[in-house]
Amino acid sequence: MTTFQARALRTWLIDRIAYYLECESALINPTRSLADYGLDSVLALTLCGDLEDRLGIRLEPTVVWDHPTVDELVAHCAGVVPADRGTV
Amino acid sequence: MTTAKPSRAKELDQLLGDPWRPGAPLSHQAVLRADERAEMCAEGERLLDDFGLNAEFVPARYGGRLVRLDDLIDVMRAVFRRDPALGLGYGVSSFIAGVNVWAAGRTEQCQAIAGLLLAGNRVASAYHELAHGNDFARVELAATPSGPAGLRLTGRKEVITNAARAAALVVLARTDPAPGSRSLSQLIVDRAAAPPATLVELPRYASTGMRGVPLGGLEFHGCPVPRSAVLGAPGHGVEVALRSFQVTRTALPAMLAGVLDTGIRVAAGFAAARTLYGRTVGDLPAVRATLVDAFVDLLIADSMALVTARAIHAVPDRTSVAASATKFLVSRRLMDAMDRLSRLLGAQFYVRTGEHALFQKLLRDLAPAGFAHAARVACLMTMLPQLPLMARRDWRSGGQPPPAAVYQRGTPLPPLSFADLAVTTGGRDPLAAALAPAVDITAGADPDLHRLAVAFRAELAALTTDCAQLHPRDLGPEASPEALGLAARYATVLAATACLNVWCHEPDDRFLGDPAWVVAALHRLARSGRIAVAAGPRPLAARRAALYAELASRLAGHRTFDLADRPLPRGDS
Amino acid sequence: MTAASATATATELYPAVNLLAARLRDDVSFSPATCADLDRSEAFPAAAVALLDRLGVPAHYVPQRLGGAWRDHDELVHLVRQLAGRDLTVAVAHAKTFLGAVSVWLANDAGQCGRLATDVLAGVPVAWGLTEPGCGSDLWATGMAAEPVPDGYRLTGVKQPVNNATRGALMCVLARTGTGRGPRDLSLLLLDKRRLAPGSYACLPKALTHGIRGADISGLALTAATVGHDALVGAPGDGLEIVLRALQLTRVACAGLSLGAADHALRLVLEYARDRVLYERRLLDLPHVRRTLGGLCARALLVECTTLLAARSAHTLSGELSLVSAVAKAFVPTVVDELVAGAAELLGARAFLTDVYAHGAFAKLERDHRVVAIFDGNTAVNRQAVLNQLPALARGWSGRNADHDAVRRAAMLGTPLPPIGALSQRSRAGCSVVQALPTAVTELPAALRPLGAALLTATERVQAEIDAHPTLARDVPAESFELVERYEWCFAGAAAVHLWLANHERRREAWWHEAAWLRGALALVLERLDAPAPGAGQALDELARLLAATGAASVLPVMDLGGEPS
Repeated sequence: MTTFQARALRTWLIDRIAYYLECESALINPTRSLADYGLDSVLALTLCGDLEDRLGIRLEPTVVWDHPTVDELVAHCAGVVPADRGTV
Repeated sequence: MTTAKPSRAKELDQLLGDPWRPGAPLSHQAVLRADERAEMCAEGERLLDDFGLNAEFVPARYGGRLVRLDDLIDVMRAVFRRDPALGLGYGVSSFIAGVNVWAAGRTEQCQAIAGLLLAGNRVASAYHELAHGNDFARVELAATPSGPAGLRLTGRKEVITNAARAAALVVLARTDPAPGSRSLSQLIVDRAAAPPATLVELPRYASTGMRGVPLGGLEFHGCPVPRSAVLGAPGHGVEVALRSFQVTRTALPAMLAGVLDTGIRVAAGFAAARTLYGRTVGDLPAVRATLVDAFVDLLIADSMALVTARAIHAVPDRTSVAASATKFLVSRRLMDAMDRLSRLLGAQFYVRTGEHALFQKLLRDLAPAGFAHAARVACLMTMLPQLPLMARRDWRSGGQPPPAAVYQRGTPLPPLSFADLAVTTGGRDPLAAALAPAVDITAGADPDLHRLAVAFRAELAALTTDCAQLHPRDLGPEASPEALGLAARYATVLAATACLNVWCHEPDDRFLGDPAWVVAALHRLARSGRIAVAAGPRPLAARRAALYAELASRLAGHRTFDLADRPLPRGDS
Repeated sequence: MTAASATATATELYPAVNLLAARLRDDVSFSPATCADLDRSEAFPAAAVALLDRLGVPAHYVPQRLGGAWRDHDELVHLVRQLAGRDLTVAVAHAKTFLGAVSVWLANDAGQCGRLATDVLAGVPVAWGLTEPGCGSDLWATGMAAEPVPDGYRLTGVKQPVNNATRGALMCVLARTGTGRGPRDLSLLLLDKRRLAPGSYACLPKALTHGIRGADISGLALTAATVGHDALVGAPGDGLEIVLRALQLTRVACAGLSLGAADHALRLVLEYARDRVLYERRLLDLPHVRRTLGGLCARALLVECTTLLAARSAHTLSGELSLVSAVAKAFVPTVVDELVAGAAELLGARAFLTDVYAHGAFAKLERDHRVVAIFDGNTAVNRQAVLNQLPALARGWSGRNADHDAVRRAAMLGTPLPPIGALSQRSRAGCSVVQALPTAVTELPAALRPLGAALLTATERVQAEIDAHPTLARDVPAESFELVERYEWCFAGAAAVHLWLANHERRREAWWHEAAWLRGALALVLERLDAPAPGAGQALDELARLLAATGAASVLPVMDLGGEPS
């Protein structure tokens, strides 16, 4: 995944989480644990499906538990997605 | 592949004897006496010791006899048919603790717990704190670092089966004060190693059912445990629970079906013997209908539980939603059926003496099915977040049904792989995928059945649309009743699919291969799911005579009312 | 005192009952801890019963004309509700005297009435001996023999299980005075144990029961027990007829037990939902909990409407009571069992553990209440009684027969009622409450008209099925009982509409605002009649909001009795 793709993923992810939490995207701090925002552990599992759909890859369902901030999630995804993909 | 060995259940049945015979090794009279004293039935515990029931909970690789989940369910039904308190107090709580260990423990942890169980000890599963109920994220019992290799436990666990007499406990504790999904861990507490002052027993809780089961609590005052006591990776406590609970949420209601089996026996026996207005109660069509409905509910519960249990062997990473659906639906079916039977028994249900006294105990004992080890609504809340992805992926595309062996009792299955249990199905749903092919098979078989089956296929299609559109707000605790209703409707479709496929895959079975029971089952499910087809002509009434004949023949022939149709021990044998 | 231990609904409509309720409120003999202890040890609630006697409660079981206070049947029902809302075992133990005595009031022999009134007013318990071992509710199978002898009757046989059989100095028994098997071979006799020869009777041991564990559920065995002619209640051979009329009144009174249980269950579950925090939210604030609570409220409102109208129509539509009482006795306990089961699901472990929440009061009331659907004619017996009268229901509906004025007077709460008129074994006119629905719907304001029209359509469907129902004596299929059950929901819906119409102009309480209670109640009725209405969910949610705001679900003007805040 290129830096550009990673940045796009980050924006998409923030919007997606804001949608789940029903708040403004601007309120999501990419370095803060999503649990701090009240993202329920079971709900966090579902975010994984969204990521899979977007990136066309398989992820561990607990990926959000293990990488609980936006930045960590993006970094993890960037590491598993081949460089020629990720702009879906 | 592993082959079913039903002989263990039969062996246990023989050992426990005919409970209706007063001098039997484990008679209903003895069970009732123990209940009145709020004690475990001592004869029963001794017999289960002799049988070595604990070995049924221990995987074969650790020296036990746990190979197949459906076999275990079968064995435990023999206990639950006689005394649910014995089922829970002797065994099930050790089984729950054990599954978490087998799913996440290191080899030496598994060996240690296996050793305790095989030596006849109990292991308690200590997850519950009264203030937080099913809300695991709020668990307070804290495990804080103490020295390089130690932890100290502070807090309490409440309403724990066998808390006072367990040799070891599997506890869920907070290993990280931060909120989030990696803050809790499960760990094993060795009672013998805990300094007495740091682990204090709370008074026993009294209860209205399962009265003999010693429910206790424990207070931890800086109780030291080694870090090596943690099950799996630190912080993975919830994940371990979510993975393990699909085994237990399936198995427990399946075992409890034994309660309804005996409930039907008591009620049908009463109806056959009692005269009213010059004929037996059992001659009244409305009474027959109540009995048949309960019989069909037992077959529904058994079909759903059996299919999920066998699917855990065949597709262990695809059953997390089905297990919660099973717990949700089967528990209610069993309780409602017992409730209706209690009305049939009338005043006879209300007395704690005489030949029908067992019924009121069974009814009281069944109540925890609805709230213990996850409340029914908590099961819906576990299912709900996964439904949109399932709708977008497998429901829409059709998906891949599981191997046929899932539906064929007695055929070999892959071994139970605790390591492959997954927290989500990743949008896959083989059990629902089995609906469409089964609907096709009904086409030429029976017009009533086909009409009902088509209605369930339409229901799944409607759910696909509705679930794909679920709002994120509806996936968490704030879910609307309508959203939770979708999960409940899905559970009903899954139950219908299980019944249909049991019927499809048992063409040679005299009873299960005939459409009568499955028509009645689907009709009842459609009615409770408020699926319009049920309001039409009444296929249930038309099949009732055949189903009552089967019920009466099993009553007279001393055979169980579940799918197994197993002979029960009689008289001195 | 917590809300959970406070109780039923006090209302300005029944001032005499309020005095009593205020007095019971803080008495230790009714405290949840006391009730739990007695239940555990299966001990009779003697202190509570003695207190009720001291407070003059037995007067409510004696007609006003005989120096008592029983005049309006709805007031008696409300009294029973008050007692049951505190403790169902006490209510069953005490109010049983009304059941034992009512046959005598109906037979109306001046001397016998006067003697019994004196006893009841003095607090002497009276039992009603109908049940015999192995016979259940089959009165025709009565085996106790009352053989005519020169000075009266000689009785031999067993009555069991019978409430207050041991404690009751008096027992009104049904016995066989004739030699045949016909209805005229049975007579009622009022036995006075104090006057029976020693050795001619024996009290049988207390039964160990699932609920009402402290109640005196025992029996009486008679061996050539001789009584005088003055023991006969009514004429020889009148026994069954009097019992069937008495049951019409007692079945409605028993519905009061269910109302009390519903009040109690709702309070326990509301307090829990208010205080409990899960998922960082109060349980009460979770949408699915609100919806469930709303459904429970709708049930509470419907059983209240059904019972109120049944009790008051005993006065204005006495000739229809055979039908109306059967509908009420089948519907009310069944729906309250449902309410209790729904509350149990919300309470989870706290409905199961007996020393964690409110002294285990919930688990106790759940066990206790299950008896209401069993005794005094079980649900199947009452549904059969309705089935027997289906032709009258069909005729009454198609002819639009309804005594609108009588329905209106019954529905108008707090207005005086005529004395109870002649009770008949069959209702020739059918059921005015349901048959007045088409007219009532036209009187609804425009905003409620669609809801009323939906109820009418659903009722028409049920009536069409009744119309098409064949006359069956034996082999009644299960579907016929289900039809009667649907008819009960129609009755409950109609009762709600009548009560709303007759009272809404005078009522300002929160439940009446924008017809909130009616909308919620009808939403549930329509759902149960397979005709769900749009907006049903919100209507139920609103009921939950009102419950949280007011603490009780009732169409009555609820008032605070003072004392410690609840």
